[in-house]
Amino acid sequence: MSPTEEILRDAESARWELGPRFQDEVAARVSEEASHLASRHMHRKGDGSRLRWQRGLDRILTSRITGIPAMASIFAIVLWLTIEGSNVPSAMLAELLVDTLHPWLKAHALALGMWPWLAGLLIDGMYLSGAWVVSVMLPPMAIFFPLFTLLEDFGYLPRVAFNLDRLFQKAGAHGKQALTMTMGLGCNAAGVVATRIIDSPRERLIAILTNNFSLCNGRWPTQILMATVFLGAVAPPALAGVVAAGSVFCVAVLGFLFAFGSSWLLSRTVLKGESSTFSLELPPYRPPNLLRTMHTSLVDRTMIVLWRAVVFAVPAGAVIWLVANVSVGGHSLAWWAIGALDPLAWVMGLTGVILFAYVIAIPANEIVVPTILMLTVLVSGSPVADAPGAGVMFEADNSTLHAMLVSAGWTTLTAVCLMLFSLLHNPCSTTLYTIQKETGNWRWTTLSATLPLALGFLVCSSVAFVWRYLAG
Amino acid sequence: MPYRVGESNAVDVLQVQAGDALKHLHESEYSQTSATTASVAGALCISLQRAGEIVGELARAGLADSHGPAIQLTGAGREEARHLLRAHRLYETYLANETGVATEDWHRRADLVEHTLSRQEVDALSNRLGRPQYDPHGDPIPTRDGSLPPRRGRPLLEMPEGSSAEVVHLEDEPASVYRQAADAGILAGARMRILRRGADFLRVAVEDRQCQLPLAVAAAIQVEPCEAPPAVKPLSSLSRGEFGRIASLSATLIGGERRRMLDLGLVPGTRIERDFDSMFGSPTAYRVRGAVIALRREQAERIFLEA
Repeated sequence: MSPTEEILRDAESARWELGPRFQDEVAARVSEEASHLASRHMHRKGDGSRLRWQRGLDRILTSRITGIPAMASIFAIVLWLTIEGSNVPSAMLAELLVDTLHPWLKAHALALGMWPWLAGLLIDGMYLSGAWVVSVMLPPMAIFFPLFTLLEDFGYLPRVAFNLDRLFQKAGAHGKQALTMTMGLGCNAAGVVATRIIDSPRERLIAILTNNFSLCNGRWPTQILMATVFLGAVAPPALAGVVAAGSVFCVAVLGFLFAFGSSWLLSRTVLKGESSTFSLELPPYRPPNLLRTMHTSLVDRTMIVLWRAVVFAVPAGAVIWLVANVSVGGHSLAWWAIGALDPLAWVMGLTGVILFAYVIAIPANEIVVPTILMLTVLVSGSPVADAPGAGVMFEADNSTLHAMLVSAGWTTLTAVCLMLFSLLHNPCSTTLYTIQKETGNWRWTTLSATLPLALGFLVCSSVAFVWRYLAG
Repeated sequence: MPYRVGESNAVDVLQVQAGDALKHLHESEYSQTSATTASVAGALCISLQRAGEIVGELARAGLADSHGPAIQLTGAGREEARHLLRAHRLYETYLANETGVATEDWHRRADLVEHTLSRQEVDALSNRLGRPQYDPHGDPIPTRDGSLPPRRGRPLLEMPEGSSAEVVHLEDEPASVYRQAADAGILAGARMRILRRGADFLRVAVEDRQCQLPLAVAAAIQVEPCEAPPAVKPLSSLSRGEFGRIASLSATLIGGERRRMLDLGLVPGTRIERDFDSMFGSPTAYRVRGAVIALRREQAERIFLEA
């Protein structure tokens, strides 16, 4: 036997003498050595006063009496700043990209001799859909994400996860899911990316699969519109505003309840076998670094999400224009599809137009309402004097809108079911793509689409059934 | 996910029974008892006739030899048995470290998978897991060339009252016995003091509590004598602002969970202070090595401090 073989054999048999708890020993020695090095080479600056105010702040932010109001008000301020702050820039962008640049482009393209169908496809379809997504999506995200990142950098967000962990644990999830769900209020795709902070595989998958139940910023406009135009209208005028705001709030809360419920379900069924560990570090509070905050929130979050959305929205714009303009057997493709979807939609308290709009507007929830309006005009004729041509998405003021939708057969039930379906349907294609990238697994991506769809069908049909039964 | 095998995978019943018989012969050889057709029938829960057929098949395949009533493994048989054992124990380690499959399901799943893994796949699994030497039950995993250390441990029931012992092996069959032991915190690596031997129970002190084991459970436990374990109290018993030194991690912290605790620096001798609770009582923030770490109550109950 050569010396090498002998050494290998000895090493092999010596391995057994290390014992089963060998890993523990190694970890203990590594920790010991690390703290030894740290105590020799690290200098501590400052005195105990910093530690004292940090501890004091922790007591305030994590106690039940002061912590909950603090959390609720910080959350409310962030949402209020986002919604109020994005109104003006959104209107300005829409004015520039949709109201000014779109007719200008169309007129010049036609003047230059472009075929009308090509101008329709490129400008009414692709350009308009991209412009719409940018003007609705960019301002809220550019406000929401920096605010969120500031809180993260300051060290507050880990405390929120710490505070709420018990609730999430009961649903089989991780406290950090509170953060990814909040992030989902801005954008589900960003919420899914944010689940990277959850380092336990099972809880991370739960957070990914349920993020869609956070009502994202692309769906708020649909909710607010339906609540104001239909629900506010049935309430006494003095209460209209309260009823409208209250019903949107209820839908958002319902979303959180569904997130908890499905987390609980997933952790006990399909995800039972995934590995689960918990750890959460509470870093010291520190003044946020503004430059870094702007960079992470604007470049890493806002722009990436926006870019993905535009990439998906532009081809969808072409599809939307085509289904409205390509005719087979005397009717547009959209007309056929809507007719086919009508029976299913009736069961769910919706209309074929709404379901079809959700199919072709899958790239972004932002363009669902404009698509619904365009399709309504397409199939039921236009009571609106200045409605643009087939395949051109548009918005209208509230009273015109109400008249138009009612003449297309909409009722309060339709509005309620649309609000519910807007909460409970498959994620937009940007989010689906992100889920596929983050999990690397088609099974999870499919589940993330089918779970909310199934729930949406169930909830909408039940509501429609009960509603019609009560209404006689 | 690789290596995951569903219940529906068709595994040849004959092949499985032959494999189980081989493992039984190996276990007998390893524990220096003799195997017979009757013991094979007993271990596999099959008829004597069927056991005889299987032994005959093993002998024809050159894997076993019978001398009178005693059946022995041949060199090739020993090699095959250790491959199965290696596959089984590595797969259990995989389930413990990288999945959330419940402890009592490991054995059953590994039994299904061990027959389907080739030698290359087993080696790849070993590399992926960082070449572990022991499985989560504390049993040695045969090396690639089939070597195993000499058997350790003696039956817990042979230990006198008042002595101390460390669990080195816990039978994972039947599952109900295994679960009772595991629920009592008795897993490989746990240290206990034997308090009293009753007519049909054994009273032992494990970690910070005492428990009464039915004799059937106690009989499934193999131990090594050890020095008396120090008195401990759980981390969760600290009150706000109090501190203590970590004595040990519970034997029930295994796989990924145990590794996470160690990575956080929660190793014996570390000073840890209870800082503040979250608004619903759990998790709690602990100050350790200059950092603040939140642990859930269920975790803090399984980390022990010097009393």
